[in-house]
Amino acid sequence: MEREEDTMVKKRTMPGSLGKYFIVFILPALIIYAVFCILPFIYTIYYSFTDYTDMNPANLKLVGFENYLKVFRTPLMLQGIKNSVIYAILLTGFQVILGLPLAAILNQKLRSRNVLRAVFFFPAVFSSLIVGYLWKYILSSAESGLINSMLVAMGFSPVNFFTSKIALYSIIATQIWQWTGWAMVIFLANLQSISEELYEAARIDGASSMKSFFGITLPLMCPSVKIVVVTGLIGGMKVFDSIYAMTGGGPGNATQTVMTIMMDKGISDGFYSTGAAFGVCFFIVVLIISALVNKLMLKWSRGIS
Amino acid sequence: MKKRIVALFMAGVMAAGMLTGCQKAADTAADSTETTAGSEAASGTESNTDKVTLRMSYWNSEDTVAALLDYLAEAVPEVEIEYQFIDNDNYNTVVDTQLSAGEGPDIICESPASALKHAKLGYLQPLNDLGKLYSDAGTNVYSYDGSVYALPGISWFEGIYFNKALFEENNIALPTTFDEYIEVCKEFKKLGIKPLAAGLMSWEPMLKNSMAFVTAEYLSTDAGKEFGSKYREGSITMEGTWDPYIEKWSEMISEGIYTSDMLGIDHTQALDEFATGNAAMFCSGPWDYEAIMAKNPDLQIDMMPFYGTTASEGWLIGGPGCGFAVNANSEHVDLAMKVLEALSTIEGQTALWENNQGGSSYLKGVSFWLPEAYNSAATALNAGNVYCPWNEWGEAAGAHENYGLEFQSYLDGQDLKTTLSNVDAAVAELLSK
Amino acid sequence: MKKTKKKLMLVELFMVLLAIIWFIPIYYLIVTTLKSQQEATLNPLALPKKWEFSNYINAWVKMDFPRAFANTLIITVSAVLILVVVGTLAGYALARTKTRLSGIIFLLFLAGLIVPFQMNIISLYRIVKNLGIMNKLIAVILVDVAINTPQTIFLFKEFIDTSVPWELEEAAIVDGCSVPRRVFHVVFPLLKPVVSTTVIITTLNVWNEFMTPLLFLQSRSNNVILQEVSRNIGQFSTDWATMFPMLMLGVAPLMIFYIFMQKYIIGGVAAGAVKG
Repeated sequence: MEREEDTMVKKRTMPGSLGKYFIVFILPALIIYAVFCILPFIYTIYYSFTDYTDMNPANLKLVGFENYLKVFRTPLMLQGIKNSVIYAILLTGFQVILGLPLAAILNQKLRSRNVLRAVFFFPAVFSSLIVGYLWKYILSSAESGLINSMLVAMGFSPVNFFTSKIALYSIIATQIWQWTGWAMVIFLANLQSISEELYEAARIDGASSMKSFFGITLPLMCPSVKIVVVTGLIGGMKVFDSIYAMTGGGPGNATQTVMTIMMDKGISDGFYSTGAAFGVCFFIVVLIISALVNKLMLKWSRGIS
Repeated sequence: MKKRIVALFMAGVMAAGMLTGCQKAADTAADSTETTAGSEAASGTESNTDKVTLRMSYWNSEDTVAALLDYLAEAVPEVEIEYQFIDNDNYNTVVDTQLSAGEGPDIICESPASALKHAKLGYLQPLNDLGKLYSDAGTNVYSYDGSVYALPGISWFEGIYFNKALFEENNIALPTTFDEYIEVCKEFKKLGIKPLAAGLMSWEPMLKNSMAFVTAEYLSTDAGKEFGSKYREGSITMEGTWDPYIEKWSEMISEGIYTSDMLGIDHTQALDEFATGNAAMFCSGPWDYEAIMAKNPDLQIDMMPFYGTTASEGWLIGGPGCGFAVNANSEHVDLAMKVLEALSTIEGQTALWENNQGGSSYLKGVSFWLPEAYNSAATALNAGNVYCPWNEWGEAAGAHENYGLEFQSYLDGQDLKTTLSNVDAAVAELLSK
Repeated sequence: MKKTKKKLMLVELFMVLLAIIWFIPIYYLIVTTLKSQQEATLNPLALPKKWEFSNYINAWVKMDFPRAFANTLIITVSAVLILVVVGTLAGYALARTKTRLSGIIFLLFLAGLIVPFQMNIISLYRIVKNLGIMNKLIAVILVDVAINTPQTIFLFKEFIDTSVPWELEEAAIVDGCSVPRRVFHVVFPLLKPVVSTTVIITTLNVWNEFMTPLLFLQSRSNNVILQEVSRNIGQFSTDWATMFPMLMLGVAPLMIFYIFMQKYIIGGVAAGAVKG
């Protein structure tokens, strides 16, 4: 997005030795990163093979794969992974399906496009926690709930948005509201980098705007779609705030996700080693998803060129 | 554009610098507003340097212990109590973390399950001498390895609040058995009045309602007396034992008294429904009394107990209230003990009762009158029919939450066998720790 | 041409309608804060008959807003500041050194983009406890810095690689400039675009982060705004006159930030994302 002219500078003298400064410069970042990211990662793997609980905080014994077996034998944990995957896929899917046309339209010469862009992006600056609380009021099945009171006023019967069957989807809907504008902004930036000449040429060839959208725009959108899909899926897998605010995982366990279970079982109930094993499983799922997306995207960009 | 951002950023840095500078002042200012907001004597946090501040944590809001705090300020003048409200969802996590780091509040309100855990890990000070002042019924849930680790507060109990006017106007008699209760609910439904307001977004209402029925039908009988202790040892399961009772209780669901719509309503919304006269009954206890009356001061309410299928005095769910424990790592164990000593007097119990009217004290020789709002529950209370099944589950007591959650799923169509065996699994997991 | 213009008008009309619908929840939040609960239930979307600002005072006191705001601001500003400094230094070192070691270190940082830190909360919890910084703002600051390090370093390195010409530094070397002087006097002034991108993205991330304060800050005096909101919602959820202003106060700082800096925030998010 930044000016690209400077990029063309030829590097004649290779910027070589910074000498001791390489270590000095890298060290602050590396230390913080090592202590709070790498070390915890190693410990998580270690704990996942021990019998660490709140009742047994020292003298850890190695117990092999017992914790992993427990994860696979606990329906709740499998359901949590499933819910997180559903959440991630649906949220990301809708971000792309709604965000792309939104961006395409706002890329046209509309007088109000700056205002429109600002409005659609607005919810993305809020915390998901507070957005969750707000929507909990809006969707409430008490008479005071905004949507239900409108439904009743229009003569429909009220809907309970938080039953076991649809609670997860209600939450996803609120998050689509929150994050579509974010995806749109990224798509828009990508669109603006596509040269006007391509469209000019298509227009001369008599292509309709629909046709040029599918013929020119979509293929060149690969980079931004990839970003939205990858960050959306990984971010979606980690969902916690909005669930915490709206249902706390309920009713029953209908909206439990990886992170709500991790907080409940792993932290509050003190099943540390099981929580660690669950964390590792979570990581593996994220890895698989990232690999799949990368492969699909590679196919897409190859298929186009 | 970039200039503006950098400028804004610098402004932010400077503002933060200033704030850190005045952090101290802001803190004390905030503290004093907090104490004045509470009813505690707020006189001179700064000037009285001889006062020692003790922190006390609890999961109920400050007004549920307001009178006690007032009393303690007088009875133990050398101590200033800083009240820390921590909401129920995070209470255990927050307190556990602080205790395991050798810190934490000086006086901790404990549930039986957390008291047991903290006692085992050595975080709590034994309170045997003070414990002797209380009846065994109160202290045995807070005992571990022969020592008492928390002093039982005023007992809590939950029954069914009902709107007296609605019963009288419609000529509906109070039920004396579970079947009659179902009939009463049906009659209200026919009249177009919601029989029971319930905030099933919380897992608590169905937990207590169903367990009360099982208590009346099974746990209080000779056949069921041993269930709790066997369950704690892992020698019996709920699935296979409780099924017939829960099946009967499920008329609450099949008759449309509990509906899955209620899963979208939280506890306070249900309380509103009841207080405003839109529902005839509401399951709760003394802690909600003031909130109900504040909503509608004209409401005439009373409480009835839960019933089994055969006629009895009825049952209430309840037990010793939060246990007051002393952090063994506190810098002021002696002063904390002094506070608990003051609590273990008639005056102390009276002050605690003040905001929990209806409950009874476990301190030997202390008894309170029962407010009018509990008239119809008096026979059950006098018969001692107050029971909290999960208090007997020892280390697995925390699984009562799983039970409540599973019942939400049950209401939404999960079969009974799965429901109960999931609870068993949660109990087994906790016992294996 | 006329036809396309008309079409464009229709499209614009449709988009404006959609934007209005999109905005309703935010509008609802704002108007409800200014009404009594009764009025809010009867006419949820109407403008308030009587503007009741007193609700805000009540919410302000109950959530101890100045303190919560100060804590949030301290955490955010410190984390962002550290990230900019650390990101500049490490990004520069990684951009200007092409050795095997620097490649490995860069990859190590990049891996952080995929590894969700949330998988490690249990061990993170123990580390924070053992470092003796549990229940201190610094714990959240450091962890938030660590979580945002990979993206920051990536942005800085890419930017220096592509947009900071080596010739400028060469000239400085000829003048006998030391490495630190080169970084601060020659390179850093050129980094404004990437600094602003980082500031914007990490401000949003850190300010809205709920899980790290929830895990590491226990006592109320250290709580951030989001903790205050969630703490109070448990107590006053049906008291709309208190809760809605509280939600509003919870989002107000970023709302104001957004209203004034809207163009740059959107630009920053787009720049950060496309590069990432």
